Amino acid sequence: MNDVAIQATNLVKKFGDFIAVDHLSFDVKKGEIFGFLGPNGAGKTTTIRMLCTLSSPTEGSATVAGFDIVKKGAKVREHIGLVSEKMIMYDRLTARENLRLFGELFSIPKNDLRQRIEELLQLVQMEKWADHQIGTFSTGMKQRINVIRALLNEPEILFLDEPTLGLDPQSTSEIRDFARSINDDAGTTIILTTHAMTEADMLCDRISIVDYGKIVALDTPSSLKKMIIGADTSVVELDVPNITPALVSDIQSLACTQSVTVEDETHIKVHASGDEACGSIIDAVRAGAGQIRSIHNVEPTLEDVFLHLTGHEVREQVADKVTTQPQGRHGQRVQSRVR
Amino acid sequence: MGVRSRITSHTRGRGHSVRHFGRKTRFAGAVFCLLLVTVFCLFAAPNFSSTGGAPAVRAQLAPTTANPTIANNVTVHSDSVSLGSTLDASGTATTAQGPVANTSVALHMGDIVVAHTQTNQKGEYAFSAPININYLPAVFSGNAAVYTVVEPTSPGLTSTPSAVTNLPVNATPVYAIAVIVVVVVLLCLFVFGRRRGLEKVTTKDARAPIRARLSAWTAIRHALWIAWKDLLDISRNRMGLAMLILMPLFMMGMVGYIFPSNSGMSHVPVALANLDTARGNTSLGTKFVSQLESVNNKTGMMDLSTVSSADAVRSNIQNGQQSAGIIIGSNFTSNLKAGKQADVTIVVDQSSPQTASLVQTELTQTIGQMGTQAATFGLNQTYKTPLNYSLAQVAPYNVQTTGTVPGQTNYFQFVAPGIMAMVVMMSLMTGLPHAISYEREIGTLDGMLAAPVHRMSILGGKVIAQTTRGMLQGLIVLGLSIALFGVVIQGSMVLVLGLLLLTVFSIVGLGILITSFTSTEETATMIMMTLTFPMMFLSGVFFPIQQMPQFMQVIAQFLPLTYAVTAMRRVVVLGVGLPAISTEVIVLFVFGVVLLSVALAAFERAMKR
Repeated sequence: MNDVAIQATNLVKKFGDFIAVDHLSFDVKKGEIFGFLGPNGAGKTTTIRMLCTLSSPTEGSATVAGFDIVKKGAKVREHIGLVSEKMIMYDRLTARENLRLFGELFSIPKNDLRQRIEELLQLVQMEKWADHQIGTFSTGMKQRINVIRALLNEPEILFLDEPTLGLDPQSTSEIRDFARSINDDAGTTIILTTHAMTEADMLCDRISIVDYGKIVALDTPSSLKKMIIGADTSVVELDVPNITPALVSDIQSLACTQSVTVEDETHIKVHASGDEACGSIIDAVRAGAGQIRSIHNVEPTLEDVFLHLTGHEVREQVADKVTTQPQGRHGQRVQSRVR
Repeated sequence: MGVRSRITSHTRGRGHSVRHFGRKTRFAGAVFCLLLVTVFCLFAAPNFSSTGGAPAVRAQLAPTTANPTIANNVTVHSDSVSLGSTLDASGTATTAQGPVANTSVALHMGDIVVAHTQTNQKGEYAFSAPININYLPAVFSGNAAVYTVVEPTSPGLTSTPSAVTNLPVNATPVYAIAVIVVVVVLLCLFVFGRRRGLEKVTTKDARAPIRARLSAWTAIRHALWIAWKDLLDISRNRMGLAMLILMPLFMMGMVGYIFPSNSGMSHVPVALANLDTARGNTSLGTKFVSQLESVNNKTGMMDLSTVSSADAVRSNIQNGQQSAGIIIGSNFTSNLKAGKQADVTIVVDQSSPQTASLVQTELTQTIGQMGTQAATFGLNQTYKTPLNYSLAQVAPYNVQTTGTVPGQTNYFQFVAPGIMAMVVMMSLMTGLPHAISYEREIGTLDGMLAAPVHRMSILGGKVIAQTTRGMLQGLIVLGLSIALFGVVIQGSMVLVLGLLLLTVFSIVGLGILITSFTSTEETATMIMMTLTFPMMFLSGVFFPIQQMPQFMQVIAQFLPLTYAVTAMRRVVVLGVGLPAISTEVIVLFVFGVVLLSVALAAFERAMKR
C-alpha cells in the first residue's frame, strides 16, 4: 500500500456514446517514471485529467497519493503537480508573478514561497528572466517556467502531459534531463504521457501502451522489446536505392511479411516472421529488379512494439480515427475534448 | 446489525449536514454582514431630498380655513386586485362653485400611488391602471384599500381623499412565483449540497470545524489572489485598458449628443407662408409675422424663411429644406376684423415624429401666448380694463409645471442612470466569458482547478475582478455625466454605488450560467450579446417602459436591469432614499439569489466535465 503512488481500478470515461477511456486498471509505484504511450486520441490525456481531478470518471475509481480522486479531490490536488499539454501560464504576468500566484493558490507560506521560487528559477537558469512577462519568452523558456510551476508545492506525483510537444531538440533534451533529475533527486513519481517513442524509451521505468482507451501492454521498455523478438518476429532493414511502389507491394504480399514501412527514400523496414523470412525478402527484391546495398537485422524499437501490438502505425492513426469516430450530436464535442 | 447501521448512517448524515452548513453559513454570513453594512450605510447616509423638498410641498398644500372643499365621489369598477389585471375606477370632483376641471387626480392603493389622471371640463375622471409587480407590497399584505385623491394646484381649494373601497386581493400569481423561487433555490441547494456532501461524509476529523473556518478564510484569500491576477492582466493589456475607458466615453458621447438633451427647439428650420390677402398697414397677418419674428429673435427657436405658397411649404418639407412650416390663412385679417377666429396652420414633418411633436407643442404654445397677449391688449384698448385684470379674463389659468426636485428635466438626466447600470452590466457580461471560457480554452483554468483551491474561490475571484472593472466603467460614466452633461445626483452617492453593486449581484449569476453551458468564449460572447442587447432596450434605459407595448412591458418585468434602471433613476433624478426603492432592491436581490444558486450548481458541474 505504502509504495503505491497511484492505483486505478476499472477507470471509464465516456463522452456521450464515445468511450475515451475503457476500463483502465494499473498501479504506479512510488518514485517511478511511468509512461503512457499512444497516439493522439488514445485516452492518455483523459486519464491524466481524471487522475488530476479535472474530470470525474464515469465509472471506476482511483487513488492518487492515497486519496480517492472522487471523494477527496481537494486532498489529491495538494499532492500533485500538473504540466499539461497547454501551458498553464499567464502571458501578461511575469515569470515571478505567475509562480507567486500558483504558490499562493497552494497556500505556501510567504517566506517559504519566496525562497522556493528563487531555488526553482536557479534550477532552470531563468533568474535573469524572472521579471519579464511570459508572453515575451520563447516556447522553450515558457516550458521551463511551466515545469517549475508544477513543482512549487513539492508534489509527490508530477504529471507531465506531452511536455516536449512543439519544442526544439535542445529544449526537448533539457526538459527530459530535468524530469530525470527531479525523479532522481526528490524521488518524485512522474507520470509521463507522450507519443514520442524515443522519449518514453529514454525516460520511463515502465510503459503502458494505450490504444482506443485500453492498455494493450504494460512493462519495462526492455521487456516490451523482448516481447516481439521472442515472438518469432524479426525486423529487417534494407537499403535499396531504387524503391518503387511495385516493389513495396511485392514484399507486402510475401507470406512471411507482417508489415512494410518505407523509412525514407532508400530504406525499407520489414517485419517478418519465420526462419526463411530474410531469404524470401531478398528474393522478392531481386525479382522486382531492386538493388540491395545492405541488409541487416535491427533491434526493435518501441515503435515496432506498438506496431506489433496494435497492427497500425502511430502517425497514421490520428486521421484514421477521426473518420471512424461516431459522429452526430456529440461528434464535435468528442474531438475537442479528447486530446 | 440493522439498527447499528441505521444509527451510523444517521450520525453520519448529521455530521455531514453540520459540516456542510458550517462552511456554507460562514460564506453566507460574510456576505450577509457585508450587505448589512451596506444597508446600514445607505440608511445612515444623508438624504438631501427627503429633508429638503417635503416641507415646502406640505406648506403649499396646507388648507386655509376659508377654502372651499372638493367633493370627490369615486366608483371602483374592479371586483378584485391581482397581478396582471387592471384597476378600473371613475368619479367626479366638484365644489360648491361647480366642477373642478383640469386637475390632477391620484389613484391610491394603500400608500402606493397607482396612477395619475386629469379631470375633464365637467370634473370627471376615469382610471384604468395595470397592476404590475410594483404593487407587490400592497398585493402581498392583502390590503387593497383603493381611493382617489384630488390634487388641486390652485391654493384656493382643499381636498380630502375619497371614500375607501376595500377590494379582495387575489394573490395566487404572487404565491405561485414565490413557490417557484423557493423550489428552485431548494433544488439547487440539494444538487449543490449533495455533490459537496460526498466529499465530506467520509471525513472523520475531530478538528473539522476549525479546519472549515480556516478553509473559508483560505478560500477568500485564494479568490483575492485570482482577482489580483485578473486585474493585473487587465491593467497590462494597454489596448484593452484604453477601450475600458473609451467604451463608456463613446457611450456617453453618443447618447448625450444624439438624443435631444433639451426638450426645447433650437434653430429648427421653419418655412413661413403669409397667405393673408390684406396687404400693407392694415394687414394683421404681417403684424403677426413681425411679432413672431421678434419672439423668435429672443428665443432663437426657429430659423424662419419666407416662402410664397402653401405648396412651397409642403415641398420644402418634403425635400428636407425645412423641418416644419407655418401657414397664415388667406382670410386672416378679414376674419379677425369680422370678429371670427383667424387660422394659423402648423405643418409638421411626419417622417420625424419626435421633431414633429416638439414643433407642434412649442409653436402651439408660442402662438397661443401671442394670442393671449393680443387679446389682453385688445381688452385693455377696447374696455380700458387694467392689463393684469385683462390677462386674468383672457387666460384665467396660469399653468405651471414643477417636478418634485429643483431643476429642469432633461433627457440626459433621464438616461444617465440607465446607462450607468447598463455599462456595468455589459462590462460584466462580456468580461465573464473572457475570464472563464477563454481561460478554459487556453488551458490555464486547469492550473487553478488542479490546485487545492475551492471552485467557489475561482469563481469568486473572477467575479471580484469583473465587478471591479464594471464599477470602474460605471464610475467613469458617472463622472462624465456630472462633468460634461450637467447631470445632478439628487440622491445619496453611497446609495448610487450600492445600487450599482446590487445590479452586478443580480446579473452575475446569468453570466456564470451562460459561461458554464458553453465550451468556448466565442459562443459565450455570442449568447451574452443576444441576451444583453434586447435587455438594453427593453429595460427602459433609453425610453420609458410606459411607452412600450403592453406585452413588451410584461417582458420588461422579468429583466433585472429594469429594476436596476428604475431604482437608479429614482435615486439620481428624484433623490429618493432606500425606503422608496425597497421593492426594486428586494426584486434585484431575489433575482441575484435565484440566478446565482442555479449558476453555482451549473458551474460546479461544468468544471467536472
